[in-house]
Amino acid sequence: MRVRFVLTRFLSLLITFLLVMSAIFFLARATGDPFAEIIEQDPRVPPEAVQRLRQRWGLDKPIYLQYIDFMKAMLSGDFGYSVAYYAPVFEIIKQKLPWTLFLLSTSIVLSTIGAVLLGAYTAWRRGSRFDLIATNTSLFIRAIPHFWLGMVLLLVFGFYIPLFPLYGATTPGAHYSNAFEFIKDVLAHAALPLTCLVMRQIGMYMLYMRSATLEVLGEDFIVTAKAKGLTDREVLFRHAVRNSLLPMVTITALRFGFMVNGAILTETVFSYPGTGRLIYEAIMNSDYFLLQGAFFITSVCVLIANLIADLLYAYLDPRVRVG
Amino acid sequence: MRRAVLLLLVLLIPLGLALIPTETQEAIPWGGVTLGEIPKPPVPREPAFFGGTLVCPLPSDPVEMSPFTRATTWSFYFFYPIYDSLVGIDDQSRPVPWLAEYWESTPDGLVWTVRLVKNATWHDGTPFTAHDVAFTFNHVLEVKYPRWSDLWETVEKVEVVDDYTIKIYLKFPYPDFVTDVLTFPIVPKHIWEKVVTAPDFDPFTYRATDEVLKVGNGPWIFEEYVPGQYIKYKANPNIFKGRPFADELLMPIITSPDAGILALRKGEVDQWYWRLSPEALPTLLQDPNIRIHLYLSPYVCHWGFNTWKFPLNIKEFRKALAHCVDKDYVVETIMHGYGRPGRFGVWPITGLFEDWANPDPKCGVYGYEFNLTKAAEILDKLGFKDIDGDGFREGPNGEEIDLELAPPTYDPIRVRIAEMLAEEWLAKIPGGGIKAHVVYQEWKTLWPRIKLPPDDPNKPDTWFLCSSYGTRPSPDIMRFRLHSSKIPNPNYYGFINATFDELAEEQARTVDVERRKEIAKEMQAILAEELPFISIFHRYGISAYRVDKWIGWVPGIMWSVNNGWSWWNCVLREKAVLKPMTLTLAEYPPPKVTPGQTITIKVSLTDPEGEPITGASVEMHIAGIPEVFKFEEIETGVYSITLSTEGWVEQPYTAKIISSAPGFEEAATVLTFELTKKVAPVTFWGAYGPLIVGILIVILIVIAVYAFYAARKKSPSK
Repeated sequence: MRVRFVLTRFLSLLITFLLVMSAIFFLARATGDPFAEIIEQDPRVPPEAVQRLRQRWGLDKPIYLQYIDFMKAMLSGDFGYSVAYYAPVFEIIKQKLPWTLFLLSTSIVLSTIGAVLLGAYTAWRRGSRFDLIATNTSLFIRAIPHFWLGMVLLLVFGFYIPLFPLYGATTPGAHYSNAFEFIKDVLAHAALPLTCLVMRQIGMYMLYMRSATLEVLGEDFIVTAKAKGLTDREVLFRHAVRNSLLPMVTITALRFGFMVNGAILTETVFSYPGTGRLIYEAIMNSDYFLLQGAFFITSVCVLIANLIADLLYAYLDPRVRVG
Repeated sequence: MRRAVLLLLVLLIPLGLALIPTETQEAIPWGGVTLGEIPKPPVPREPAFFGGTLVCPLPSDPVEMSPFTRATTWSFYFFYPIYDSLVGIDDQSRPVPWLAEYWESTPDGLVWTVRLVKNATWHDGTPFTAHDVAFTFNHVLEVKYPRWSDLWETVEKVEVVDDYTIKIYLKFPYPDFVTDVLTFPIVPKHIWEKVVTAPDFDPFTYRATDEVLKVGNGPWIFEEYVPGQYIKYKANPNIFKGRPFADELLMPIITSPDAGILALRKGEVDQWYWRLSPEALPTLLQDPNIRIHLYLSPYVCHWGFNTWKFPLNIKEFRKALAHCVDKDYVVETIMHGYGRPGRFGVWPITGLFEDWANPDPKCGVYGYEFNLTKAAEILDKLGFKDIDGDGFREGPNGEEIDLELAPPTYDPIRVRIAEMLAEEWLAKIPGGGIKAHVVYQEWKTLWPRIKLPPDDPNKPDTWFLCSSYGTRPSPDIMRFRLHSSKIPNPNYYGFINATFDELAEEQARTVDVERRKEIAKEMQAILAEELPFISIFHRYGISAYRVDKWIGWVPGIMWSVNNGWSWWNCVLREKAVLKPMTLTLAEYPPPKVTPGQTITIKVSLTDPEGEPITGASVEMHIAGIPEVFKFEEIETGVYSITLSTEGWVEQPYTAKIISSAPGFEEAATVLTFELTKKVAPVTFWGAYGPLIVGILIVILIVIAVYAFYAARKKSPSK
């Protein structure tokens, strides 16, 4: 029974994957012709030269042949060459991926912990002054554009009270005598972008957690638990939170899946070297191959995250296994 | 047999005679170009002044990683310190000899002899020779890199005469040879030979490795590049023209203009120029250590027409439209003065290469002055009249007219111009307006539509585009953009004019500068008459730099201070010991100035001994006004300027006065004044009204909150 469940999940995943890949191919081509811009930028470039570039990237072929090329390449794990960078797509993504993974995974972990604790506590103390303040603050943070929040953080903690650096992921040109110094430098640079991301994400996910907990708190077994004479903390964390974590599992797994896409605005405001800006620029440059590569990685990650969430769900909640 | 030999001889002798030049033709020194000057540093290039790290940020990673495929500005910046070229371009956009010591051309402009400097070396110590030049040129001739088309389209072959002389044969005379071909960077043969002969070498996707980049010939040696973070160079101690003063050149990558400006104010970076908006200037001008530099950008921002489509296919109709554009309003009000109005002759751009401009007023900025009555007269004559009385004119045969105005939505200036045209200028033509509507399309959607052929129904009627018209005094750009063979890209207008085509082709082969200027002027006259588009404005580029750490910045007329000359000339202020200068304001305007009032500002300059400084240059920048005001020396050490505030916007102004003199430190002072009408007498309510209302509101809120809690306490809750 369990094997069959995993198998069907896996199969549907594969079909989704193929559909997504085709969508990526056509969506990338909807961003325009990557080589047409050259002539406007520098009208002296002869059209034959542009045609040669098209040939080099196989974009002179009819669209169905391009599609076949693309499918072959994707299945063999070769993302091709970026049109803008004139370099292998994977190499370019690889340069920036570690920073994005570091920044986003840290922020997801921190914000999930924060959101779960705050969400559960506000649900427990529903209607209290604390709940009122926390809920409204989270709504407020959700409502303000986070690049603005980033700019304010920069202005206050980078300029007026110069505690943190204004840009980058490390001090430019610095050489470190030991690993500790390097870690210190990286943390100092990550502090403001992390604060910005975590604040926003707590604001977003605390409310999910709050409503999930509220639902669980209405269940009979909570009353039973209270009747058993358990302390408030035991009731909340052993019974209520465990059960209300289920939706958070899916959300968090998906957030990990989308991690490769980075956080464009936060990365730009803090000049953080990440994949978010890379993908944004790829769209602006109509860089088909970089887009395909980036979306390929994203969709693989999202699908895997989904699978993990599904399996985890089944493990956590026995009711799912039957369906 | 003998007869055959004789015949052969008879045939060969004239041929041989023809091969011997009958008279040695005089070569043209420097190929006839006007040379510029290498910008001079503030102090002699001596070891006592060396040191420091110059921090010049880049707003983005370099994209293309080979000097042959470089195309983005960031890649140009990346390679500029590493690879030098035969000819440099000075701060006034004129060519200066660099690795080439001297060059000359044959009178027909077909053969160029270039003599190289003898003391230049590569960073690894290998001498720089003609073989490197030949290698670079031949490699490009072979591969035909798209961005090097000037070279491979014109050069026939390259011949090494000796180690320091090279002959370049052209396929046809090319007047822009010096500025467009000799300015390409040269790569070392001994390194790149291995690169290009490697079996897996793909010219289009090659990315130079660190080892390759470490051998250049420029003033800076490449050290490291950490993607997304920074690029580092160190000074080349052996450069033939003298090493840069700074020990290191650091380019951190800062992607946000706001962070860049903050870093400049904090002193973490030494200059910032990317997306520096006029709104940021008042704050920057208040800092005595920050200087602002405005430069001319080569972009022609224009209103383009699809000249194949009714009614835009009627020349006179386009002329009527030309009378409807208020360029002064655009520059003064929409752009806050940080721009220049465009010329109807299109090229040269207003403010640049004036000797190439057709003096006929028709080709100038106001060739068709803003005059809606004149537009109405033309339209009446053409038969465009408001027949149905809806306030808008119909065509001569009653055709409904509704022009599409398509600005890219990312640029608020062009959007505003389109809105002004649709709502004000076109709509308010006396006797019936021209109906027009603005289409708000994002660039990715609009751009492919602009590039459609002129007969495609989906092409917009009119659009607003900013196109580069080149940084060199070369009218060839008009050929590349507007020759009829360039339809539809980049001749988006469908502009066809046989005379223009002929002139465009002729100037491209005319080596004689004076003759070429004549042709260029005729081309401008045709554009001003035919109006395939209307050049509306050019932006000013703005860059800001600090002078408390480094002096010797080289602001170019067409570039920001972030350029190779600045990197080469900047010297640490503390090392270049200069005498302090005291700037005293002797006369200045009162804090409130009425509009139209004339103000006089007088300063006196003294050295530490209190002696007046004569021959200094004193200038004033005012936030909100792009013009730089120059003071005149009225008596020894006293400088003065008188200006009228006629036409200025009523608002507070921050002005910075900067004085500089050779051997002295710069001195600066900031003064503020407000341009305002007579101040009304202060009444009690005028002074305290807002405060009282504010206090009342606070009290009300406190009461409301208290009442809320009190009410909740009383209500029977759980």
